[in-house]
Amino acid sequence: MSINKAMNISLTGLNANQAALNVVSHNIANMNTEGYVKQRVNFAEVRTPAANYTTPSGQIASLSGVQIASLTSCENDYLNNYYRKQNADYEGLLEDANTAGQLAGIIDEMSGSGLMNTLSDFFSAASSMSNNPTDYSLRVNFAEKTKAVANKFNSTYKNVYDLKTSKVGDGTSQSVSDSELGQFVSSLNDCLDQLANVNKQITVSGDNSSLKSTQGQILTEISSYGNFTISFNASGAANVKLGDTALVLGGEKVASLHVNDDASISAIDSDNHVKDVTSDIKGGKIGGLLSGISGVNEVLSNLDELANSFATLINNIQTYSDGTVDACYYDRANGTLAKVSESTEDLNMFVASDGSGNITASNMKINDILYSNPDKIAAARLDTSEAGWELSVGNGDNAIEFVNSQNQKITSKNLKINDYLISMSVKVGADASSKAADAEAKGAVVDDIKNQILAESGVNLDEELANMIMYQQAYNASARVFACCVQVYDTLISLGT
Amino acid sequence: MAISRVSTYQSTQALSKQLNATQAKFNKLTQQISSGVKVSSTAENPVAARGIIKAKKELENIEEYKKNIELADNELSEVDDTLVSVGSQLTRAKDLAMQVANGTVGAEEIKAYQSELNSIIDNVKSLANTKYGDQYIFAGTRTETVPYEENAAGLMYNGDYGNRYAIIGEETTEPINMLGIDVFGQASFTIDENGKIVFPDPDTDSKGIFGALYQLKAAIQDVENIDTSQLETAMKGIDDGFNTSVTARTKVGAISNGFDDIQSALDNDSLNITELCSNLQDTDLPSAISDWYSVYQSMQASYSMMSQTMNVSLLNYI
Repeated sequence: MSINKAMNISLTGLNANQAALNVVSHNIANMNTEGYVKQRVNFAEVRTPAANYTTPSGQIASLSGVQIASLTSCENDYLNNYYRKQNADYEGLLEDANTAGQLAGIIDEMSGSGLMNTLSDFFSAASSMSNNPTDYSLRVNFAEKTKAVANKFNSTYKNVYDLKTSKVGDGTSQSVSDSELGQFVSSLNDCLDQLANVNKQITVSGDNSSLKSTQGQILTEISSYGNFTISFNASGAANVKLGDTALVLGGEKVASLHVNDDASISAIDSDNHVKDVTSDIKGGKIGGLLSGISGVNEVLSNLDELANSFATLINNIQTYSDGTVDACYYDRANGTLAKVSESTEDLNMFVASDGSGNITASNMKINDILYSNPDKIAAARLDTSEAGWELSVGNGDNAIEFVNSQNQKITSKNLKINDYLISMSVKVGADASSKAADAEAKGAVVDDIKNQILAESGVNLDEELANMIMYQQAYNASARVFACCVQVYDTLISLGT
Repeated sequence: MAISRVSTYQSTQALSKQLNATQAKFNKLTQQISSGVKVSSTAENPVAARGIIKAKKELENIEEYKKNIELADNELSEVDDTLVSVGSQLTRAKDLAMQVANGTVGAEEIKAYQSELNSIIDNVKSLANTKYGDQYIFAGTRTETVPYEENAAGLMYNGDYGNRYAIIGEETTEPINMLGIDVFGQASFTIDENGKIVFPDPDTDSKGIFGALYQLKAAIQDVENIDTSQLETAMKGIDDGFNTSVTARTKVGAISNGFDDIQSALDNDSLNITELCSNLQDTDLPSAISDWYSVYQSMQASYSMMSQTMNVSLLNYI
């Protein structure tokens, strides 16, 4: 038995503990790295074959020190998968809630600058006009308020539409690729590329912990965009599918996602086969965004319906005629009334600015003829079969009809205009608050899981420092043993002199 | 969830998350107290918001109705003033007729009466043609047509029978005008070549105050030959006319009183709705301030705890 043996054993101790210190140092360096999984060194005893195990000296001869058996990533695949699924739901709810919140900011009748306010001014102006229908300034006021109603419909629609295009684009006023959805999908495609690359490396170089950690982070990001199905090959490569459409298979990205102008999403494979996958995406940022947009679309169509119904209602009052009773405007030059129904001009109050004839919230506009000559507004409504009706210029009955129009039930919902606006505002507001609450609740679940993951894989400084001292002491002790062996050598050599 | 092991990163994250939440709550309460408003957007409390929006709309409507009533009331008081003046003119006309009927006045005096009667007729005519703002108030809805102008057919009503309305409630309107024909009537006559008034026979069109006044004028137009039977009719007509003007004043007063009632009911509603709105929307200061204080303290506690725990580490001892 040689004294060299003892020196060699202490050398393995020095090496192994120094390596362990490297790992501690790496852990500490990464203690604030998002998604970092702490590493642990597993030591193993080394025994060499010896001639004779039956004797104590033979057993001792087989003792050969320590080695590093393995490096463990403190990771829990079950928790990671669970986290990815829950996080996809959370990101989806969050995105949905964001859109709903922004929408609620635009459609809020509580703000005091909503449509109801503008309509109040309109009805009040009609009421003033009914008091004195021949007063020019009251007519100008009414025309201005009518214009304001159309403008308010236009601007409210535009604000909501701008929200929509900032989210999903429309291909004309906002390119799809610059929209939030476009950016999500392009980041997702990047992630799919990265995953395919990492998969390739894992297949070639084996399943090492650093690649695994990168792969895990990419998968977490991919799953934050939607409900993708993730499965693993025997080699450790991850496959990603959306519904039954494969996106990444091993080291190959087999299909890319693409956003169309109508906010639908297609998967395009390497052979340029296009497949609509919009309905497959449920949760995640993309699914949440699409779900939020459906709320925005509903508001847009509500605004269109309301604008059309209201404009039709007002136009019908302005042009009223049942054969004997007619809506009449004021002919200031002659100081008489004239029937709207007998005018050669189109005297509707509201017209479509694009000339389509179909009034919507975005094209609603006051008739220029009435705006430039408010005397053409029909404030009077009277029996025109009676002689001398032309002189009844103080008749304000039609103006009163304008005022009363706020009590007419309109649209497919059969609601008064103010009730329609209130119900729309309350629905949008309630949607925003309940979605925000859902997202918050889901956020708590996700935080919980994240805590569990961090509890297993995160770096605790105290623990690392304790390990550091442990390894340091082992290193020091091994060095002492080595020094002791050197002294033993010296003793031996001095014997010979 | 039981966590036996806490990573350093995790504990820092948890602390800062907690601080964020506390700070958000603190800001929210501070904002509620400083603005005095508990609910500032629909999304914050959709149910309360619905009530607030409805209440505000209701208040706006009430203001609108009150404004309309005030405008109508002003016009009605103008009508009332006019009717008071008409009454005093009629009293004077009645005096003249009495003097003549008594037969104690001479030709010269009757001539003076004739010219006084002409000026009474002119006065009543201009009262009947009263404008409020730029509208003739006794012409029905022919607000730009002079209701009384003497012409070949006499002094006929040129207005119509239409009403002008004040909007005083949801789908509720109240007529606010008196028709000239109802108050003043009209006189149908022609002037002959001698400048004398001739009533058609039978006279179906003359009536009311103007009918009586022109009867009187006709009865005394011939100084030498007073038509006593016509004078009788005229005096009776003037009495009736006076009664008509009083009745009209009563009617105006009744409308105006009705407006006062509605107005005080609206004031009452407005008060109730304002209170409801304030219950829904205003910050309950005592509770908000005590909440604020407790959040403030927990924030301070968090800071002091954080500053102490974050320094505790094995690092300090090795």
